[in-house]
Amino acid sequence: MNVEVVFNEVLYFAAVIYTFAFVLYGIRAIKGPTTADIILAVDCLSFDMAAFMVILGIYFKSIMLASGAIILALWAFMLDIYYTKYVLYGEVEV
Amino acid sequence: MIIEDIIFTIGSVAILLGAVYDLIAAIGLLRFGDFYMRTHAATIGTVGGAVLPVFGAGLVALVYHPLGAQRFFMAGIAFTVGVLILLIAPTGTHSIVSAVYFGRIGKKPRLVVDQLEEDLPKRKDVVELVREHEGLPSEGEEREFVFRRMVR
Repeated sequence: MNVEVVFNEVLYFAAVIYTFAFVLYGIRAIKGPTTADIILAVDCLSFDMAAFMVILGIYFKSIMLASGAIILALWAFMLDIYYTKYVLYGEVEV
Repeated sequence: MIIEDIIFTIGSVAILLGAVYDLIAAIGLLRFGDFYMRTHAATIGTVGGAVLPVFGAGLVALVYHPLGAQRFFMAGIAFTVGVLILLIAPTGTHSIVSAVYFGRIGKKPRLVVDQLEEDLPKRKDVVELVREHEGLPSEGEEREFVFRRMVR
């Protein structure tokens, strides 16, 4: 079918752009002057990785890849909250 | 069917647009000057670069027949992840920015006016507020002996 060929091309192009963006995020995550910049870059990286995993799950026709995206998104939120509580209150309490 | 083709096209365009948004956000995160500017790029990267392609992938998965019966699971996961990121990303970014501002991390950028700094209570006012709240006598008064815990 012609539409699926075009769709595979679209996914391939999107994967290339995503990979380039991940490299740029990684440069900021390594280089960041303060810890907050690193946390922000890793945050963006995790959310985009979650989106990319859903797209890869459609490309490879596998549902196991997509189910890890929920955990990844929640992990990034946990990182934010723990950093904030550590900086403002000095301890991480529940 | 024509409706499936339309949904498929919308989803593909959303995925492609999300990838472009993501690249723009990555360049912005790398090139902007200070932390408060970088949060703008982070907003584009999360809402435009993650939520939009995830919703597009969910729309595609609904009508993508090579997935078989698994496509409804895939669409459910995609919409769940989209709503989660849409709720989580602004909250997380806001908490990081508040931690940086109130924790005084890094160097503050040059500002023309900082109204939050003017509205914050000064250290002397905070001591006075705590005294009023606790019912303690101020500095000039003589301290009277009360069993505060037993009275309460």
